[in-house]
Amino acid sequence: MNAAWTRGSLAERLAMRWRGPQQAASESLDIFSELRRSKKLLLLPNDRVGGLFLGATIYQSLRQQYPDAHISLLTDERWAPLARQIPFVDRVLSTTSMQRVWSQDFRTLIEQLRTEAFDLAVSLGPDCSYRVAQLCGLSGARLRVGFQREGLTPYNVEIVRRSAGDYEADQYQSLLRILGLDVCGEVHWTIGDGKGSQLRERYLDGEFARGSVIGIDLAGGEGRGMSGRQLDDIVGRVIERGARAVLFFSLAERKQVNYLKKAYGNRVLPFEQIDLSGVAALLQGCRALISCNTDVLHLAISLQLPCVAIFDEDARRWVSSRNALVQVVQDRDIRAVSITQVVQGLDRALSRSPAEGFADA
Amino acid sequence: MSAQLEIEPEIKRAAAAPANVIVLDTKVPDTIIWPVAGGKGGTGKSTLTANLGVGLSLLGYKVIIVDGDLGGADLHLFFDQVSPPRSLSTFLTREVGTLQDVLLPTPNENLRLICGGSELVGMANLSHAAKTKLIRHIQSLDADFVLVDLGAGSAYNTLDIFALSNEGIIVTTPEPQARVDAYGFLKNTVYRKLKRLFGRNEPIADLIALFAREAGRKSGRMEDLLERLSAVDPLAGQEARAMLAAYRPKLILNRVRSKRHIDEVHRFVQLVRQYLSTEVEYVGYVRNDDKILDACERRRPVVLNAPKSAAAIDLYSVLMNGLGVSDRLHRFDARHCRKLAQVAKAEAKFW
Repeated sequence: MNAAWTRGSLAERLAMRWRGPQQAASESLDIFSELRRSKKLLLLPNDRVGGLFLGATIYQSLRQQYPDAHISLLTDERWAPLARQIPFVDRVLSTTSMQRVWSQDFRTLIEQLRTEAFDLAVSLGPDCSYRVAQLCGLSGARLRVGFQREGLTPYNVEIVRRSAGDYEADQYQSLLRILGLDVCGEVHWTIGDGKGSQLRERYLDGEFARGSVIGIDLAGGEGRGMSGRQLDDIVGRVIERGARAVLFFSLAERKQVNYLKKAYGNRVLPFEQIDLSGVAALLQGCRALISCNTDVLHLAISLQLPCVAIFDEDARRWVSSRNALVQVVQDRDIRAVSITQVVQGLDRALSRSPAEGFADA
Repeated sequence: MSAQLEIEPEIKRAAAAPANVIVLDTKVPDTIIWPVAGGKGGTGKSTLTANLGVGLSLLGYKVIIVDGDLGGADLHLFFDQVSPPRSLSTFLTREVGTLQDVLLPTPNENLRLICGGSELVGMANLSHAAKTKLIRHIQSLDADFVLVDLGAGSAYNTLDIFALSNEGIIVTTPEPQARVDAYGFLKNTVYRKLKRLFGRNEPIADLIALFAREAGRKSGRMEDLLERLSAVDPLAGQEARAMLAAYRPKLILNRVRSKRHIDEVHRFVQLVRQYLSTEVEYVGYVRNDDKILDACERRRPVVLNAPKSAAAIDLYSVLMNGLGVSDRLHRFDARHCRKLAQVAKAEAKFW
């Protein structure tokens, strides 16, 4: 994770010091009695969409602890349609990650949050962006809880994390436990039968309806991502084994997807990741997902789909060691990952899936 | 992009789902239905339907082409289907339950075909019940685009299927005969729509019928009828105006041989506006090109048979500029629609 992301760039820090909204003067609080009487809660998951999925257990736990409270979730406008479908929160507030901390819009946002008079604001991401941390800190909530951050004190209750390498969702849960709150069991995501199956039928019909379908996320995320040749090998191998591939892509991968479409014709289906619930609907028609980026991966994990996760960093942070359906292929250089490693990972993931095996495998 | 805090409406909590499951709902893109008609026979309706269908599928959309030319179905010949195993007649004789069951695949995964059923005697004269059933099933087809190729003339069956959408496509050629027939077809669609709108309002329906027979025949101005309607029943007048405002048929000029023809089509659009109070949207032209005939002989759409021909390039422009369809894979924007030729060339290998 980039230091400017978590600690803020020099410009952001200077802007916040000189012209930014200031925190209310701190006062002594009885944390546990404040927690007990909280009626208005603000939750700020990690900036990336994965944070929204990983935080699901926390939203449910807080809903159970505070059945009568009004829970708001602040998320990026891109994920807001998805967040609105989470039944444990009462309201979704959306903002944009493009907003600079020195902008008038940011100040207006802070003012609007303060008028809401939240009792408790919880920032879930241990290394969420500087902007989200500041939003939590300046929200005006009486209790502002988040993980301790180096060189930054936006919260009045700071939680020290056990180890930076722990699974992200476990870290969220430890935050609740430290506050003395119970944590519920795992929360799963699924797609409603009606429109989800209509979408699957529309796009995964014909040839796609006959064989196995493997989802491949082409996006590289924040890292380098896989090379065109690696992706070509993976798609080629999937097709060679009698399956079809759904290629999830964003604007940045359009050249790659066009090359693959030209090379493999009707055996691949490109699907743009604009609407994540649409991606989820198609994922439910896939036998497995291969991904080197956590966004669609977290969605697939939430849907309990066998996955091959290709990482160039410590994967423990993003994939639970308890999840047998996810096979991690890890290399310091993601572009050194071989097709054999990926295929072996796919076979292992599929062998642990309760459904039948993959094509001729 | 708004940088303001956007307050979303309060969320209704799901009651039915188990406590530890989040049920996601997803949006399914609306199906766009484009009936293709034109009044006169031989204007190239089937050719354009087949090529637009292939073009849309090349742009990444799921497309179903329905051969709705009930008397003279021949669209399957563009897809090298000499004797289709299933067709509309299979559906209309109740051998299958839904139109979905008579879909035929094409070499392009995105494109499927419903062949016409002209082998069935009396197919061109469907009963009201059969027509209603057919229309209902066309509406329930699941695809991004459904193109319905209609036959020549202004039979009620054709008009009613054309009325499936407010944005149907009219195909005409530069010859005066074709333009007169296209105008006649449009006029018939407008009267048919009005008649259906006020079917249960007897005085208004009578007034429309009378106007169509007498005054309408002389002046031909829809505005006169609207004024009469408003005088009798202001609410009916408002409804009729709203219906006409929503009706936005599209016009394609086929077999263009000179620039003069394009100027003439603008006059045609003005004429329709003036006399039928209907806004026709001219979406482009397709040049006269022998490559289309060559492609017909080879039973292939011209966009695949000759992707770089003048007619094919015009079709790309009609699709992306005129009809405003964007490329789903972001390969090029409407300004560079000619690049669709490369995609078509690559696709042709699979046909």
